[in-house]
Amino acid sequence: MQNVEKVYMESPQGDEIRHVDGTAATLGPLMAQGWHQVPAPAAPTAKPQDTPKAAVPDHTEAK
Amino acid sequence: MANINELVEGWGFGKQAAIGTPSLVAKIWRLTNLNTKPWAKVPVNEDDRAEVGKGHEFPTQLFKSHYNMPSFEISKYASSEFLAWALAFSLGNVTVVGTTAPYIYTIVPALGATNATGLELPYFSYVQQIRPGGSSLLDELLVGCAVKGWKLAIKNSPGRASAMLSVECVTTGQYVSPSTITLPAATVLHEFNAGMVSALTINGINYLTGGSGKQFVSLDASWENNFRPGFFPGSGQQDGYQIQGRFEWGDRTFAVQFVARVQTGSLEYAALIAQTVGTATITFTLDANNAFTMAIQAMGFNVVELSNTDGIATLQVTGVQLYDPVNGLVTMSITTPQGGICQ
Repeated sequence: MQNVEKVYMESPQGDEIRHVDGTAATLGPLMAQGWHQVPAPAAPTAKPQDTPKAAVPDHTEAK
Repeated sequence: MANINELVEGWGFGKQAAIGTPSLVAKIWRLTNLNTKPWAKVPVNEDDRAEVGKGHEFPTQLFKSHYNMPSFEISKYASSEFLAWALAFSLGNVTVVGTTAPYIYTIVPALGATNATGLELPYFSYVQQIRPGGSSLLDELLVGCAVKGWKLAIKNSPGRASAMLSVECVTTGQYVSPSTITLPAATVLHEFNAGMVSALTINGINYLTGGSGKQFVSLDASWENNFRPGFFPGSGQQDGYQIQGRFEWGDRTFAVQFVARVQTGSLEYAALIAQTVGTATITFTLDANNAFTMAIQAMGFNVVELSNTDGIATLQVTGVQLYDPVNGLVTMSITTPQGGICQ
């Protein structure tokens, strides 16, 4: 079975983004309700606590 | 003096950033056109004949009025590229799938309530040139063009002319001359003909197989945006002449008519009388990279008229395309090697 590429669609109100199959059967009803394509959302910025420990300068050792 | 065959044309397959911002050359393709007339620029002057105080009724002075740009027809054999372009710029809500060819475009009519640009459709630039360069006869880039409507004609005739797409365009009056555009080599199009129709079912009647197989004669589908005039305070000027600053769709119309041969127990009359409503699907398939499907979501028959087509008894059917609350009016799906259309 062929892989179906997915696209990002934004709701008419702009309050929801869905990652859906890029087929006319899926897109048609959404687009008929005013959904439109948007670029892939940017990856969330890493929070400070998510930073790998090795990448953080360890100032305690210098003291 | 120049032969009209020297005329070369190109237009944006990508949309302009704004109505007054010309397309980048990277988003312009060069294509041929069966319409042999260039796009005329028509600046209009007015005079003071209606003003009293001159001592007579005759005009004495000219004033610059506006650019009254006529509509312009791009008429071509239907191809996957040109269909995608025409439908995207005329209907407005476009989704493209794929990062490499082939690309799959799904296109539906935009809704005024949810369209990011309100009642305005995407704009493109149009380039026409005869001997561009230092001694050009014609070298213009028209800015802010929009697709007013189109007509798709599918006929029972041989060759490319059996599937024709004519697109009517309008423009604001803004232009750049010389264009400073070096048009690329002509884009290679992947054209359809009527023999490539691989699905044709209207309101439950399959015209490719079964009892109604081989009975289909022709189909005409058309779209009209009925643009409102685009002159308004602040719409802009070119050479001192007022230009249009927007093209907003009015009451749009989607018309479909087709002709099928009469048979014993033809189903079209019965569908009309019963007010049957169903989907209508027509698909062209050239190969895996080039296909087109027009899926009308709810179609009934308005008129079914007995007629004569080239000596064969036929039914001329006028459809009524109903807006389905879930699926909308019509969904166009085009597979084509051309990326970036209306992007």
